[in-house]
Amino acid sequence: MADHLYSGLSIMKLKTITSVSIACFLLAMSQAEACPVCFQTNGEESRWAFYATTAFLTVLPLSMVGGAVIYLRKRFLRLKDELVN
Amino acid sequence: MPAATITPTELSPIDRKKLIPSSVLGVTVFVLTEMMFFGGLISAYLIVKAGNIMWPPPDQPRLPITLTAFNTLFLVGSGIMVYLSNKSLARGDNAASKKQLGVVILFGIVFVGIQGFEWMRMLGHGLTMTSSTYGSFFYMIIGCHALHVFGALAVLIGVFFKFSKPDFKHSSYWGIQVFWYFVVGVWPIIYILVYLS
Repeated sequence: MADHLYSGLSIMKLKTITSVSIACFLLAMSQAEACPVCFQTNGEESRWAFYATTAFLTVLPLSMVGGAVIYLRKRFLRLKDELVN
Repeated sequence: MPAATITPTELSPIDRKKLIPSSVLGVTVFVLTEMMFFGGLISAYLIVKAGNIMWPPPDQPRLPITLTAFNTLFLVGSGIMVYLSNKSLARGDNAASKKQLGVVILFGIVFVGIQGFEWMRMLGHGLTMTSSTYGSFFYMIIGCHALHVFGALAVLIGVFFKFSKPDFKHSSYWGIQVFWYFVVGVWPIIYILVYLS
């Protein structure tokens, strides 16, 4: 059996340390271009294409699933109205 | 249980079918994965295109923009006809719906036929899968779309022949409609990105 937790253990302190560590990590981060193909010849345009398509492929599944959920919810509410009336 | 407090999981099987038929749900999930597939292909194409100073490559033939624009009209027209066919079906006018479905199939076949003709010409001019990344992407993206049109056409033809049968279910038609709308809807995006840009 584990011992009792020590009284006064600061969970808040742990949270603060974690948050500050994450913030430091994010601030200290620099850009890494590991892909030898994507940025080889046409630098700036390639970079923007890469960013834009990354954003697109990130947003696309979220918007599709979100859209499907909203659509199904609307249909369900309409059906519920029909059942009530 | 009062209907006002009902939750989606407590719907009866009949009401659940009213919410969304299984065929439509299944095809919708499939279409969502297909959208990701085409999204990936188009993204790869855009990155490679942006990485080249000259695009299309100077030694490669140009794509037939005008003929494909004309061809696009057939596909968009088929999308409109599917919509009208569904409207007729909802009115109970099965004969009109079947005729309109016939036009959809005809437009689809014309679209694929013109694309086949285009491909023959492009191959004749030296644009092949291995001639350049331009050729690889062209045949990959357009070919994948054509495969989807082929598959959808096969199902639409199947539905066409089932139309007059007594066991014909409207829901089996709705599923393929969703897929056809996807095939029609993704094409203008592909046309703009691959042919026009």
